[in-house]
This record gives sequence, structure tokens and C-alpha cells, in this order.
Amino acid sequence: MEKLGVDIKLLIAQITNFILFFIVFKKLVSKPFKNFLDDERKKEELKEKLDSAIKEFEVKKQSDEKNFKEKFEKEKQKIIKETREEAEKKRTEMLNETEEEIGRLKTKTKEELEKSRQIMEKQLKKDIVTLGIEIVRTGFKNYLTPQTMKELTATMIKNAVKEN
Amino acid sequence: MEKTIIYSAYKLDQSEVDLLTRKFPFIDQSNLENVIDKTLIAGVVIYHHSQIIDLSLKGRLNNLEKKLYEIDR
Repeated sequence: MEKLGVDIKLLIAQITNFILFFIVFKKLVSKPFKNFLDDERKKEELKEKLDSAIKEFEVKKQSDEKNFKEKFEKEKQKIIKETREEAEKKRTEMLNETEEEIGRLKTKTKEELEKSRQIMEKQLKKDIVTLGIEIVRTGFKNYLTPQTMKELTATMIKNAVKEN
Repeated sequence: MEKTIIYSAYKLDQSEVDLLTRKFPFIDQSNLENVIDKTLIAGVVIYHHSQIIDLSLKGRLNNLEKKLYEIDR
């Protein structure tokens, strides 16, 4: 070995040095570094999970918002439609009531007019009769001569037997 | 006997009183009063006891007036 130029003591020392370095490196550098890397990886995974959860939440939120808006819009249209229908129904009812009231008023007015007409007609007839009789009465008073009066009296007495 | 009162538009003469007595025998000429009422126009109204016999033109016209009022068209 000495002929090859290899120092055995040095070799052993180098090997021992290497082994010691390896052990120290593994315990003091490699393991912590590996733990650090694992921690970073775990953090990264957690971050990805959180991002994913946030994204999912955002998507769900948008979807819920969209659904809510659609539902709200539907409800709004439904209320508007119902309100319009109700208003139309009320309008029709009021029109019908007004027409009926007008009809009733017309009938009542007609009846009252007819009643008034009948009363006036009756009064007019009465006035005509009264006037006619008064004309006849006045005519008799002014134009009956004494002779005619006597003849009339005699006729009325003679006819009295048949009546009384 | 109760008095008979005869209302007429003018003073009745004897012939008219006789005619009345013939038609209405209850009339006693001795107990008779003739009252002038020109509103009767013609004819007579006889009041005897509670009886009233209207033979006047005024009465006829009044009856006619009542009947005309009652006519319904």
C-alpha cells in the first residue's frame, strides 16, 4: 500500500472523517432541512387547500347570489302580476257597481217622473173638470131665461119619481 | 106635522107647488116654506124631516163633477 502512495492512516482518517461528516450532516443538516422542506410542503398543501376552499366558497356564494336574485326577481314579478290582476279586478267591480247604481238611479228617476206625470195628469184632469163645470154653471146662470128655468124645474120634478 | 122647506132659485108659483104635492104626497101645502136660493140655478131641493131630495141643477152639476173625477182612463 505504501508503494502505491496510499497512506493507510490517512485513508482511515479520511474515511472516519467522512463517516463523521455524514453522521453530523445527517443529524444536524439533512434531517432539519428535510423537516423544513416537509413543513414547507405541508404549508403549501394547507395553503392550496385553503385556496381551494375559498374558491369553492366564492363559487357557491356567486351561485347562491344568482339563485337569490332569480328567486327575488320571480317573486317581484309574481307580486307585480298579482297586484295588477287585483287592481284590474277592483276596477271591473267598481265599474259594474257604478253601472248598476246608474241603472238603479235611472229606474228610480223614471219611476219618480212617471209618478209626477200621473199626479200632474190627475190634477190637470181635475182642473179641467172643475173649469168645465164652472163654465157650464156660469153659462146656465147667465143665459137661462125665467121661462127656461121654469121648464127645467118642471122637467126635473117630473123625472124625480123615476130617480127617487 | 113637521114643516117642509123647499129651496128654489126663484119663487115657485101655485102650479109648481101642486106638481110637487102630486109627486111627493108627504108635502103639506099648509105647512110649507119656499126659500129662494139663486145658487141652485134651476130646480128645487126639498127638506122634509131628515129627508133631503135634491132636484136642483146645482146638485146635478155637482154629481156630474164627482163622476168625472172618478173616471179613470
